[in-house]
Amino acid sequence: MLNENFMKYRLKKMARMLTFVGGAFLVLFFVSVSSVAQCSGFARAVAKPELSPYLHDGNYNATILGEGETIVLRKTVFKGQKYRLLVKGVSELPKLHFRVLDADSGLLFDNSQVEFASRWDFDVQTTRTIEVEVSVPDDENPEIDTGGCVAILFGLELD
Amino acid sequence: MTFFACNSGAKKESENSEKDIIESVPMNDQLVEDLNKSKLIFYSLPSPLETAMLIKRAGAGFDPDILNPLDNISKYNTNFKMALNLGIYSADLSYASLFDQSQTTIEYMGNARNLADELGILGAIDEQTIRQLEENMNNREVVMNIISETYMNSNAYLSENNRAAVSVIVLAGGWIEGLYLATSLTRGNLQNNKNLVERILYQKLSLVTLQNMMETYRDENSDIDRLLADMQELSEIFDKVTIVNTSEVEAVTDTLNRTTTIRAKSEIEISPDDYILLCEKIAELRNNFIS
Repeated sequence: MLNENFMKYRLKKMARMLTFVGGAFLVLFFVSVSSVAQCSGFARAVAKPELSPYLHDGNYNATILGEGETIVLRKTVFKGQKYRLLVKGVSELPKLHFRVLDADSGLLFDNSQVEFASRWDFDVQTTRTIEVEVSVPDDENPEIDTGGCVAILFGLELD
Repeated sequence: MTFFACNSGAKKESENSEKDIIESVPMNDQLVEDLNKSKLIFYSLPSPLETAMLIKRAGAGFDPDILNPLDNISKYNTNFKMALNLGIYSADLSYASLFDQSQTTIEYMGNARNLADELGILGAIDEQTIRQLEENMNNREVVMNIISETYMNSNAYLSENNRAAVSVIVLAGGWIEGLYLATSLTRGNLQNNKNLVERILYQKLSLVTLQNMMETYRDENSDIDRLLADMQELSEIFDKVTIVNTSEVEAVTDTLNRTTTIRAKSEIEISPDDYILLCEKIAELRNNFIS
């Protein structure tokens, strides 16, 4: 009898723990899905309007980045087309640092030289491949790691 | 046949003291090391809208006969074919929209919607999208915004629902169709519209981007493996295009207006026979995709 009660107690305890763990996984799942979905929402509603009056080329490049992390985007840009590059992060992130490098030769633009501006307008006299390197600087609080959506969008100047 | 991209139309920076010249810096060990630390690389192809703008800016016209016929949609009964042709129809409708072919744009958007629905891409193209197109048929800017938004919505949905490989197939379809439209308009002749031919030859750079993009997903999706083999055949012909930079790259930045002109000279070359081979290979791949 005692063993039966003890087993019932153990089973109830396990069931409670499994419910808690399962619930935690569900919460994490929905939070992560929600975060990722919010990235496209952020890109669409917050970042994309800043391309105006340039037309967004339609490509979607956005992800979640944390402090100290870097991403690179490679794109061919064409002679005769004027572009707007927009690099935008959610407000919780520190100002983003981005550099544009030519695939063959070197540094073309560094936004740290213009107060970490989020956009850069440019054109090219010869078609070439460029790399946009975006970094989230570490902020001054080592105890809290901040992360959030970062969108890298290109706009095309209309004739 | 050799093409020169000239360094013309230089600005007179000395006339404005607020303009700074930021000269390009040679790649050094620090820059290379910094790049190698990058955790994530995105690859961005010319979108259907960008390709259509390149075609128009090169002075080419609209030819409805080179579009993928609408009726072909009934043939697309696998996810692979549907994704490829979603990209292809997107390229066709972008091309039509830039030449104010309103009815064609709406019809092709209808096909794109049907394929997006079949692929389960929720909310990217719906009744409201079609209605907005119809209501703004005469406003090219609004039409292009709608097309840009639907393209982004489709790719964002796929990326964020663990279907990035499908997104890559859509992008590949759109890219090959843009290339097919452009080469068709030159009729396989280097002398027909040299501006357009030059833009076609420079797609050699975009092909490298596409191949890198597909490499990321080849283990996840056997259709991408198949596509990579196709692109390798194309790459072997694009290898016959030679691109030589004949000057240093110089970035001239107007810091007040935050605008930069990237100056450089280059030569791009292909023989007439190889250009014909290139056009034929592009047509062969594209016709396989739409069949």
